[in-house]
Amino acid sequence: MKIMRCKDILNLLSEFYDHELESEIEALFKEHLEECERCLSLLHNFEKMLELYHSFEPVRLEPHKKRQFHRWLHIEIKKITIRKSKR
Amino acid sequence: MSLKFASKNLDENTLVELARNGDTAAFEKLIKLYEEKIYSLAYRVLQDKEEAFDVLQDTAISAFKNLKNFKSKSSFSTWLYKIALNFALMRKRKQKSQLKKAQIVNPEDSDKLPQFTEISEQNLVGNYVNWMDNPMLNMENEELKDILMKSLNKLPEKYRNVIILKEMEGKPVEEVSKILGISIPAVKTRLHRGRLYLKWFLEKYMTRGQPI
Repeated sequence: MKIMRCKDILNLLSEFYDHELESEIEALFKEHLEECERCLSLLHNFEKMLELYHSFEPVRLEPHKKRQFHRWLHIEIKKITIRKSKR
Repeated sequence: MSLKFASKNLDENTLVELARNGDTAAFEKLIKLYEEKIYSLAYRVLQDKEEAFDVLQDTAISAFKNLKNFKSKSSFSTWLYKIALNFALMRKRKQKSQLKKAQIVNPEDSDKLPQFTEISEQNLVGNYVNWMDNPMLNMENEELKDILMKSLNKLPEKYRNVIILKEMEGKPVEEVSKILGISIPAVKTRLHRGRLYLKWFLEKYMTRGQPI
């Protein structure tokens, strides 16, 4: 692959973002970006979009639900164990 | 020292072995290690706290009953995520079919999703506006958060699962592959396509300045 086209950039976007391109391909990728403002924006927008998804706050189990779950699990496991031992 | 007390500060593998040998305290300890992550995964899939809590319960009981089937080829956490994801997806499908039966049009399904090739082609035409410094794109913008979640929900299930696990739950590709039971190249393909769909949705929002 000697010259990279815009279509190649699009297809390789994820691999570039994940640092998975071979060094020779990566060099061609960067070379294209230096000359193509549209692909550079494409990459920036792609990165921005992922940054937004990464910045969603982690989902937390509320403390009272956590306690409720622990109590429930303890009892359920006991019930299952007792049923098993009776068999 | 009883097993119950011994299980307090042990690593995952030892806890699994103890649990397999009937130490219920070790099993409870194992679940405590992953309960937040299971709940989070279920919530990302279902977008409903109560349903996510039910998935956590289903997962814990199923894991307890099937502990003998756990093969140490994968880690215990991967095995748990696999169980949790399956329960969450079953509930998600049920939600969808109930909406369909009630003839309620789910806003997530109202637009037919274009083929991936169309998305690719649309990415190659027109001039791009760089979003880097756009003030609309910050997570304090509640409308944006809503758009991002709606976009995620619009994705076909195979892409959505990969995006949730990799981009939102931060799992490495190898683990995503094990949880979903698909090859690493398949994970990467789905990830790339899912990402481009999400970018396309955001593009629509940014161009029209209104919800998708």
